[in-house]
Amino acid sequence: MNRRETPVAVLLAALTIYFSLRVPGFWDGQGLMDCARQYASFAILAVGLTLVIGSGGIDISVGSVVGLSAVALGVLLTRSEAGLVVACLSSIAVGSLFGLANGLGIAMLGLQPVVVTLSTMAAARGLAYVLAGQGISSISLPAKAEPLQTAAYISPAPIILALTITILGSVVLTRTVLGRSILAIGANEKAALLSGIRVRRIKLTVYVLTGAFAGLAGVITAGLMSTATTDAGLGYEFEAITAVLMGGTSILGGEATVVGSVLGVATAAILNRGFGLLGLSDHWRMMCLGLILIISVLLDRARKSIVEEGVR
Amino acid sequence: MLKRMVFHSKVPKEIPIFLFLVGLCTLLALTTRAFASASNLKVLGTDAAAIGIMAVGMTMVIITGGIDLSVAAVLAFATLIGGRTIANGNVFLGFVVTLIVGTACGALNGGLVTIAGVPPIIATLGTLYILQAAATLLSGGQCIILERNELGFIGNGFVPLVIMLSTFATGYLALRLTRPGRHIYAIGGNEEAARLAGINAQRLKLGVYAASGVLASLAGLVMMGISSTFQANDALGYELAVIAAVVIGGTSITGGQGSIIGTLIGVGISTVLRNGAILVGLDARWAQAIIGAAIFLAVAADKLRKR
Amino acid sequence: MRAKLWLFAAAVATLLALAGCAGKQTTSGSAVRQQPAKKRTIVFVFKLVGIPYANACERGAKMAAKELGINVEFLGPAKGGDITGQINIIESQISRGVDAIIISPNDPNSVKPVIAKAMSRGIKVFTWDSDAPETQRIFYVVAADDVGIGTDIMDALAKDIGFKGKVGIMSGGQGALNLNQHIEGVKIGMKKYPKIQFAGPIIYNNDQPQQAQSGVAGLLQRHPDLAGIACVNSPGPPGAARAVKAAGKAGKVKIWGLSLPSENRQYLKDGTVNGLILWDPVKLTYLAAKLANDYLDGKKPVDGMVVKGIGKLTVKDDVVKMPGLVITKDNVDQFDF
Repeated sequence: MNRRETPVAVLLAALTIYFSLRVPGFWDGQGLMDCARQYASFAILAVGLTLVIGSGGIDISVGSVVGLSAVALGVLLTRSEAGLVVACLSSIAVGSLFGLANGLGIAMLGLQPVVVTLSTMAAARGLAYVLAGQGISSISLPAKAEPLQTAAYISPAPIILALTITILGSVVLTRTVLGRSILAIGANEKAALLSGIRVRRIKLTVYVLTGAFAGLAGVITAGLMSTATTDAGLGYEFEAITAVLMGGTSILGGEATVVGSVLGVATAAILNRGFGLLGLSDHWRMMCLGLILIISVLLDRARKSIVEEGVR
Repeated sequence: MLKRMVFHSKVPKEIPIFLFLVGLCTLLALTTRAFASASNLKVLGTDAAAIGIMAVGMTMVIITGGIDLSVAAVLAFATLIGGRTIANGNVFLGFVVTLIVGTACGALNGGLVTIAGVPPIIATLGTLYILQAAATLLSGGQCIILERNELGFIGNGFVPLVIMLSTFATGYLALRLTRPGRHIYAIGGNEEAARLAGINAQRLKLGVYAASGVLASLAGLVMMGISSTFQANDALGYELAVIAAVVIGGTSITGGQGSIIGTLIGVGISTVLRNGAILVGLDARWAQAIIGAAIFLAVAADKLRKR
Repeated sequence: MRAKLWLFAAAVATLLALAGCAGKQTTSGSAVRQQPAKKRTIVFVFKLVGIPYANACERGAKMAAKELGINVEFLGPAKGGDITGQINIIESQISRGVDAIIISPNDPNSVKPVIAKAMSRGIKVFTWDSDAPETQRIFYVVAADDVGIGTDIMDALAKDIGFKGKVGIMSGGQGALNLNQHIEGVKIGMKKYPKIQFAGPIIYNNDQPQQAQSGVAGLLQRHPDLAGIACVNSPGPPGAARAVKAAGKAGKVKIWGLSLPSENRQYLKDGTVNGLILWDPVKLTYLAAKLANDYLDGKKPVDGMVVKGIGKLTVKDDVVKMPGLVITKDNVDQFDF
């Protein structure tokens, strides 16, 4: 019972049972799929953020990068001759570029992650508005984006994509040298550096990866809504980070779990579905999210202190 | 001794951003007729007030090595509770209620951080969600309208600017001249060492978060005074602007060092950028991209200077 | 063992908290729980909640619920101009399987797919207050000609400024169709007066009173000789009034706009705001609910039909119009919205 994912797993189970009993229609297949599709983007963001937070950093720019990549997709599809595949890949590339900017600032210049990603958050959102153009707040995806829309809207592709990335992320974190290095950096960067780990390169990698994931999430979001909106992804960073912290990853770095983060995303999704079906406004959901966040951290501390007691 | 001189010496750190601000203002004064006027100064003061007041509290929190993401939510929550009393005619009572609620919320944050040991970023993220939701639900989505301009005395003319500058002055003096102020720096620098030196870190940290809370509620009262209305979503997103100002001002997120003067300059830069955007006819959304770039440049320049 | 106890206690605590949350009823329509399945449910999704105009619309919705004996809810995102937030709310309503959704979209483009989805699931979708003409919505309920009303504002403003001078324009969210059409109307009106020039840029206040005030403050700095401001959304006139007052120019800068008497009472009386052109949002929302309810019963709106308490409607090309109002300091006290 000492695994760090336990609190969130228990919470998830409790919530699922509660909503199953309380809310008629909770288990409606189509509704669940819609919800899963919407949260697939969050899951993808959460995997990247787990690695970033595990390395001792943070990235609050992901929401804005989602927006920028969605707008980039819309602009490329409507104002250029680019085909669907090229446009999607370019949008992901845009995300990676911002990830690179983050990585350069944090890994190379040694600036504080909060500060750097705060600046890229503002810059990316601003650029999204500017790119869309004066007075334009949304771009409808044209006919050539049909395959993307079908993939996002009807097929289980976003969910499969999210699951794949989750599995890969988890494997990398727990079974590869890269993963262990990330955690070592998060635990004690100086020691990691002294033991020969290429700290800069690895830090750069996790931020670029997160940026790419944000780009991907932007493409999926635009596909789901069939529109690229300038405020796409607004607030995503808060909810994604909440899910990661709920899942047992430590904000201080050094301890992380991809599985926990995705369970955290699932919890957020269940909350969303349950509250939405009950007709309760978003505010109740946010309040519960805040409560759960604090409780899960308190639980983690309790778990830690119990482990320590056991050791002594 | 040398360390203390460097530590307390303010000349090196704030000069670059101060020069940047001066340059920005000069540029705007030369390219637009309206920038360098008393009436525009009033506008700037009104725009900057709420964020500036909160930035003082945020600076202190960040110096202790923490952060307060919930300031905007505390602002909304406290102001909505007290605001209703004010609208009913009880200005003084409403004022006091707002400040008390703000302090209580700040103390809640402080308690979570010090007693329960929750990392500040998580504690204040949680209270952000909870308080913002509570504010909206409590207000029932209704807007508070002060038909008789009851808070005009704080909102009119140069008063918001004066209140903001007084807050900065108080914060500056508190940090530099009082013992608790110096201890705040010590806690941020090395909490263990500070504790061993006999400093009551728990109490000070609690106090700092409570201060952040009461300043947030003060900022809310100023906002309500300026526009004679208040609704739950008025300050949405302000916490990032506050943190940005503090960061541009040179305060380090890791704690232990920071400067109220720097924060004031940071507030100045972001306010002038927003104001300047309208004056030159630029789309306000450009301003956001520019502010983002400004933050990056400010911290990068600061880091490179240190090398 | 203790770890297990902790976890269990926490889970129970959370459940209780949630049970408490779910059990609460608040006064706001936006937190009303879903009624038992059989009662007809119509949901309004406005551009946002929390401004007086939205509150007035909500009263109309509640009035309709009581009178028609159905469940009417009023929802919207917390922030102004939140396009994605609005779409998410609509998606939730689709999941709930409500009977009808009436939308005032922040952006007409963005709601096209979600309206198609709703209609395909048998949910009837209408628009009111602001339209989304290129979607599958059944009809649009409005209280004015969206372009014409802009011209009316400009005409009234022009008269008050003596047909010459610089005029600024303030709007809400950049994407809202009704606002953009109002702006179009204002600009058409402006062309009629050769001595009136447009003083840009257009100020977008995103339905936030704070932004309305600071935006106009900035505009006044840019154009110190500004003669008037035409405001096309409700937070505009009071925000502009406060900015004009703070700049010491009350009475010198004329203000006409679309706003509620309740927000502007003091400014109309002391002359800072010259006049408002509006309609009764309570009645407009009530009408939309009533017409949607009738439609669900198989009755379509007909040109020239008279609705009790509202007046005669014109119906043309899926657009249903009800009569509007001009509000000045002389009649402002007649209205309770």
